[in-house]
Amino acid sequence: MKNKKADSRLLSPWLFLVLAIIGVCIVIGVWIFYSIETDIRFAEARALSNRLIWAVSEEGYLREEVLGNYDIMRGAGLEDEKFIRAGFFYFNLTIVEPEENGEEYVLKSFWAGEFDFEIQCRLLGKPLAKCVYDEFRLLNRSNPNQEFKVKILAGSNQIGKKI
Amino acid sequence: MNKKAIEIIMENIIFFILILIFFAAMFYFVNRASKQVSIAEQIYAKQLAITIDKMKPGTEVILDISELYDVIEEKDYEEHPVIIDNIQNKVIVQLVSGKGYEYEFFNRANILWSLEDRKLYLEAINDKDLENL
Repeated sequence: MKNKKADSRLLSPWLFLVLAIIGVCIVIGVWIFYSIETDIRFAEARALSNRLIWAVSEEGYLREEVLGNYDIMRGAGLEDEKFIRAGFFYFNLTIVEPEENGEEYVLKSFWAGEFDFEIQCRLLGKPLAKCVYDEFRLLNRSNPNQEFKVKILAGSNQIGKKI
Repeated sequence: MNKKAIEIIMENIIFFILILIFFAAMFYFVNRASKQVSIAEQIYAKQLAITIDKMKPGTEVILDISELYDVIEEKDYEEHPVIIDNIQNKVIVQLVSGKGYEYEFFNRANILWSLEDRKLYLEAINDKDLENL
């Protein structure tokens, strides 16, 4: 800079640049704040998993009808249409019997919805489905010495329309 | 006062006014964003959908939605702020004329709903209960 006056003249473009940066940051901040607040995919996946737990268990025992010809969609109170057409939801519930040698024998498996979530659930990224994974043990009501392991993967990718 | 002094004062006043306008605009933007009807519609539609998804048959829920009524009164909108579509499994929240905001739920139960005294009453019943009504 040659002198003080030159310094002062140079101030206005810098001033506007700084104000523009601050403005853009505030706008982005507000946008991120509201988009995070309204993302309920994880809560939906949790609610879905809870409904599946409720559908297969009863006071710590596996519901006896589950290993037969069981309609899990009806049992968990899930609307078939939302899983077949919408493509927003997915679940995979597997009941296994753990064996003494550490291996697991699959007794029954249920799934519905967008099968691609099996891969999406392992990846990170905003447009990908949000998932919850639960694993727990239930006893056989007619033989309390026998236990079953239940594995549930539940996911949602319902974002809703953009504002 | 000489010419130079007036120039300096004017520059400072303009600078001050510019900064004031900028921060007033930012305050207005943030304030408007927080009160935006579309955001309120979206937040309420999603909250109601997740509430319905968690309801088991027999569950009754009463929700205070005075905030929504405050908005529709301010906007002179005279329809119901909330509609629950059991056929398409959708919650629709509408606070001004237009399409409102729709969000889907996966609960199979029929949701009986009513609006009274700025409150939303929800009750989940299964198909069999509906036939007996």
